[in-house]
Amino acid sequence: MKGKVEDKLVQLAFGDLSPSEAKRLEQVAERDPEAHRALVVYKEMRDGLRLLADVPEDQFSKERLRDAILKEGLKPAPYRPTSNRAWLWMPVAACAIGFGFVFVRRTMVTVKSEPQVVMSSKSLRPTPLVEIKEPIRVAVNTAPTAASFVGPAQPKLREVSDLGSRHGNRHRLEPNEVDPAIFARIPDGGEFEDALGTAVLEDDTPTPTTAPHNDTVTAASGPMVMIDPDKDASTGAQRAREVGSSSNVLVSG
Amino acid sequence: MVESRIMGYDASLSGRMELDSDGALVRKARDGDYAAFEKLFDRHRVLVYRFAYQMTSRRDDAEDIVQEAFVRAYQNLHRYRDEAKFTTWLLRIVTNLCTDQVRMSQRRLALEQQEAAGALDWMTTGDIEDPIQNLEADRRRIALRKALNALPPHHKAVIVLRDIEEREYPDMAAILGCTVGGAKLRVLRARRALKERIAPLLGEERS
Repeated sequence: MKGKVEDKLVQLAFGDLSPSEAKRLEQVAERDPEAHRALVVYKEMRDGLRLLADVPEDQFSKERLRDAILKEGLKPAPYRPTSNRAWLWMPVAACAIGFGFVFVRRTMVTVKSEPQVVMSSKSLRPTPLVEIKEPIRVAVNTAPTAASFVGPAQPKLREVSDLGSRHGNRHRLEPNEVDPAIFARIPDGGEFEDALGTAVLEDDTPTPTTAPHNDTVTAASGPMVMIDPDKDASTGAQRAREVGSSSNVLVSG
Repeated sequence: MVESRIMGYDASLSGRMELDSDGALVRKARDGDYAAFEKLFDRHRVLVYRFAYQMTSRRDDAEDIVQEAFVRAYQNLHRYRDEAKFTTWLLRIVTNLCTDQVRMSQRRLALEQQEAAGALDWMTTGDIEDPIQNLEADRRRIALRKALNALPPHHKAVIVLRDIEEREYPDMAAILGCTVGGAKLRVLRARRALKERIAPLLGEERS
C-alpha cells in the first residue's frame, strides 16, 4: 500500500476528512483488503486511545507547590536579557585565527628559506655520499654551456644518463643544457670524473647516505650561497652566488 | 439572527473574560500576589497533570512534573506574553518537561515497562457489564499503552495532545511551536508510528 493512501486512511479513521472524501475512500478500502485491514487497525487504535483518556486522581496539594516555590525562591527569577550581540565574537575569533595562521605560516617560510653558506673549496675532503656500484654510462657533451654557467673556461658537460633514469623524477637533459641538480661549478670536464665520486644526486626525496661525515648537504633544502675557491680578478675576493635549493647542488672537491 | 449574534457576542465576551482573567492573574502574580498564582494553579493543575500522566504513565512522575511546571511558570512569569493563552504557554513548559522525563526514563526501559504495566492495574475495573468484554478492553488498553510508551517522546506528545486530550490543531501548533500544517504532519507521522507498534500487539491479542 502506498504511503499516500495510508495517510488518507489515517485521516479517515480519525475523522480528519471531509464527508465526501471519506465516503470515496471507504469504497476504495472495501475493494482493497490490505487497505481495509489497515483501516480497521487505525479505527481500533483511535477507540483505544480514547479509552486511555481516563487518569487516576492526583494527590497534589497547594502546600506542596508552595514549599517547592519557597525552596526554589519565592520571587520570580530576575529578567536576564540575552545579549543580541553575542554573535559578534564569532567573526572576531575567525579573524584572529586567520591572522594567527598566516603569521605562523609566514614565519615558517622565512625560517625555511634562510640562505645557508656552504664552502665548496677544493681543499675539503670529498666524502662519497652515494655508493654507485653499477657501471655508469657517461655521455659527454662538448658543446658550449649556457650563460648561467660561472667559470673562466668553457667546460665540457657530461650527463650521467643511468643516474637520471634511476631517479625517475628528473628530466632528461637536452644538449647544451646545464643541469643545476648536478653541477655547481666544474672547471673542466676532466675534473668531472673526480667529482662524480662525491656526487649528491637528489630528487624530491632526500637520498639516504651511508657516509658518517655527511650531515650538512643532504639535510639542507633551502637556498644556499656557493663560494668559489677562485678569486675574482677585479675585486680580489672569492666569488659567491646563491642557488635556489641546496638539495640540487653537487659539491665537488 | 440578532439573538444568535448577541449569544455569539456573549460567548466571545465570556471567552475573552476568561482569557483576561488568566492574564489578570498573571499580572497580579508578577506583582508579587501569590494568591493569584494559586488561583492559576487551581484552574489548570488538572490539565497539566492529565498531560503529564499520559506522557509518563506514572502518578508520582506526573505529580513531580506538575510541581516542576508550576515552579518554572512562576519563575518565568515575566516572559509570558499576553498574546498567547496561558494554558498554551503552560502546556509548552509541560511538554518540554515531559519530553525530558520520557527520554530519561526510556533509558531504563525494561524497568519502566514493568512499572507502566503495574500503574495500569487501577484501570482493570472497566465500565462494561460483560466481564469478557471488560477483559478484552483491558488487554487492548494495556497493549496500546505499551505501544504508546515505546514511542519516541515527540511522537508520544502529539498523540497525547491530539488523540487523547483532543486538542485542536491551532492550539497544538502553538504548544509545539510550529505551523498548523506542521502539527497535522506530526500527528500523521506519530499515528503511523503507533500503528507500526500496535499492529503486532493486536495481532498477538487476536491469536
